[in-house]
Formats: sequence, C-alpha cells, structure tokens
Amino acid sequence: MSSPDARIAFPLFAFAAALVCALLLSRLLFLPRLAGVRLHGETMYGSSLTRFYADLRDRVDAQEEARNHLVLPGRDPLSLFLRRLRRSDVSTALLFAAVARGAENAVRDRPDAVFLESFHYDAAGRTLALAGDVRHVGPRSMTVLAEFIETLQRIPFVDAVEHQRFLREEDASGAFHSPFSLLLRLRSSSVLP
Amino acid sequence: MNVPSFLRHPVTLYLFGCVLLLFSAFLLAEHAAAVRQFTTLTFPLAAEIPSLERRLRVLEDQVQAAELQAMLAEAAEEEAVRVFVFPSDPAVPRLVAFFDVLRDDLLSQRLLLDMSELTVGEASGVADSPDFRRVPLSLTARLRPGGLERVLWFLDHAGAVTVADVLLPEEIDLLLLRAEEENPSSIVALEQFLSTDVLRYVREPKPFEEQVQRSLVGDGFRVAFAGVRDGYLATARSFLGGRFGMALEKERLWPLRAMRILRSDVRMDGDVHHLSLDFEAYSRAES
Repeated sequence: MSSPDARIAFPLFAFAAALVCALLLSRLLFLPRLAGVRLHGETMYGSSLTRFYADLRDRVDAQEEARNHLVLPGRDPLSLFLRRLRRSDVSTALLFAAVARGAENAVRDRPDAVFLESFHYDAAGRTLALAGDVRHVGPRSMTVLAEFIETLQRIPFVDAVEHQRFLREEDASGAFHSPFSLLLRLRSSSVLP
Repeated sequence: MNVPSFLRHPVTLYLFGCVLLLFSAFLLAEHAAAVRQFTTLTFPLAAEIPSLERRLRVLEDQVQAAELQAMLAEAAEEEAVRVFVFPSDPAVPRLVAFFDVLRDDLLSQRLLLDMSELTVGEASGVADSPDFRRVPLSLTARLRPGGLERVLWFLDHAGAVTVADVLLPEEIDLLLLRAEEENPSSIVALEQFLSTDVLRYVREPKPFEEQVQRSLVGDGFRVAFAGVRDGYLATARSFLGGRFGMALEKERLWPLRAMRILRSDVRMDGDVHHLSLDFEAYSRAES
C-alpha cells in the first residue's frame, strides 16, 4: 500500500480537527439545553425528569383514587363487599339486552332474521349459552350468522364467542335456515354499576 | 514553533485525521441520541407536566371539599346498608314481600303471566368471606317482553341505596371528569347528587338534578349529565318510580337485600319468556 499524499493528509487532519472542535463546543453548550428542562427553577435531565414525571403521575393517581373514594358513597366494609360482589359478575339485564339488540339489528328491515330460542347464563362458569336460528334471509343465512357472531364479540363484557361449525339447512318448504348454538365467554364486569 | 518532524509526516497527519473523524462520528451519534431523546421523551414529558400539576392541584382541592361532605353523608347510608342490605338475620321475609309486590306490579302492567313462589334454601357461610352468610333462592316465571328486563334489573341492582349505585362506573367517571374540568369546587354538589337516596330521587328527580346543574353550568357537563339522566337513570326512574316505588317505600322494602344471580335460563316461546332463576341473598354472619 502506498503512503498517503501530503496534499490529502493535511486537509483531512484539518477538517477532522475542525469538526471535532465544533462538535465538542456543541456538546458543551447546545446539548445540555436540549436534554434538560427547567422546572421550578431547577434543570432536570433524562432520568431525573422521568422520575419527577412518574412521581407526579403517582400523586395524581393517588389523589384521583382518594377523590373517587370520597365522592362515591359507601366506604364501610359492608358497602365495599357489596360493590365487589356486584362487580364480580356481568349484569344479566344488560347482557341479555345487548344480545337481543344484536339479533334485532343483524339484518336491516328484518328484525326477526335472527331468532333467539334460549339463553343460559352461568355465573360460576362465566358463560352465556345461546341457541337460536337464522331464518327468512334465503341462502345468506350463514353470512348473517357470521355477522351476528361478530356483533356479539363486540359486546364489551364478551371475551370470546365459541361456536361449532356453521350449518345451512333446508326446511320442509325448501327455505334455507342456519340453526346455531353459541357459547359466550364473559369477562369481569366493567359495566355493572 | 518547533513541531517534531514525525508529527508533520503525512502518515501521522493521516492517522490523526482518521482518529479525529472517528471521534467526531461518536460525537455525532451522541447528538443524534440526544435529539431522539428530546423528541421522544423529554419534550412529551415536559409538555405534559404543567397540565398534570394543574390537575394535581384541582384534585387536592376536590379531596379537601369532598372530605367534609363525605363525613356528613356517610352515617345514614351505612345504617341502611347494615340494616337492610346485609341484615343480621338470614331469614328472607322482606324478599318474599318484595317479590309479591313485584308480581302484583308486573301483573297489573300485563308483563307477567305467572310467577312461582320464592323457594328458599338453607343458609350457609361464604367461603372466602367469613363475615357473611348466603341463602340460596330460586323462582320461575312466564313473562311478556319488558317483564324479563325488570326482574333482572332488580336482581342486578339489589343493595342499591344511592343514585351512584344505579349508574355505570363509566358514567360516574365521565361526570367526575367533566366536573373536574369545569369547576373543581362543584365536586360537593356532584357528591351530594351521587349520594342521594335513589328512591327519593326517582320520586321527584327535578330538584336533585337542578341542584347539581346549578353548580355545573358548562356545556361539557350539561351534555354528560343529560346523557346519564336519559340513560341508566331513566331506567331506574321507569322501574322504581310511580306506584311501584311508592309501594316499596310504604312497605319499607327498599333497599333490597344484597343478592347475586347464580344461573338464569330464559326460553322463548313466541312472545312469552320462560324464566328460571337461581340466586342467593346475603346476610351478616352473627358473631
């Protein structure tokens, strides 16, 4: 390898030296301003700012909890037990209403397309078993059933909807229908008062 | 100035230049990291801190105001919960009477075809809560549309004493947030509203609603409050109001004993709902 030419070596050295000087100056004078924030007369940097923010967030959360605790009636042990009891389950009235609404709105202008035959709610198993049939929509019955299941999955306290295979059958008059049997797995109530 | 000759040698200058370039690359990377930290961490945190500090001051004021009001409102409600919601006696005559009144009301509104008598089981302890006992109950009914919702609503709201007890947690959070944004000191008016006896509220809602609306007049709160008033509070007014509510008050059947649905079966037969319910009622364990 041939040795570097003096015409290249000196400009390279001069450029590198100037660049380092400029960056060092910037590091000493500019970066501290960029990295720090002045709060209450004190400059805070990365980790101390994060700590200050986390501490402030904790204090806000604690005060919010204290405020909600005071504003909501019932702070005695009995009321707290009652609240725990009620929040451990889904509101059956709201759940049934949401399912019935989903069935009614499954097909526009055809509220009887999804017929609900039975509900079986089990608090211990946190499940709602549904049985019914999709009718009066011709060969679209399986599509309507799939859309109905999607609607059920969007109900806030439904965690998952389990279903067996979709069926399309013909009744004696030759009309298509899709009987179904669904199991809704429920999550903890976020909507029960 | 005498510079040693080896330092003026092109190879030495070249090597020094390369070392300095490497060092400047390190400094540039440090600058880039600092800019990245500023845009992703420092700036967002710094921008949020003033609003968080304002919120903290507002919440501190609200806690102070709410503490005083809470002390005044607490006693009456605690007594209602102790005597009616968790009685010391596991016997259920009040519940039997409640279902009799409910049956009469549903029949008068043609929402019920028939309802069985309440079947009452043996009281037993609650596994994870030794201070409580439970009594298993069951009933069956044939209901018209509308009747099922009412029966389930009362079981869902068993033990409700105040307005806050018939609201969704999300609704309460929304009201608190809007009140906090608008007028922190108005928390007292909202607290009074939420602590209002729900049966007194449904009998004559206007004075209670006007009282809270006088303290919070902003659009944000007004819209949120209207939504709550026309939502689940409207259901409470509809189910608990009128002659039925008066009968509950007269017979001292409200608040209901704490209850929990264990299993409910509903079978549709035309527009008739066949309901079969297993549930349990709670009481305090006598020490």
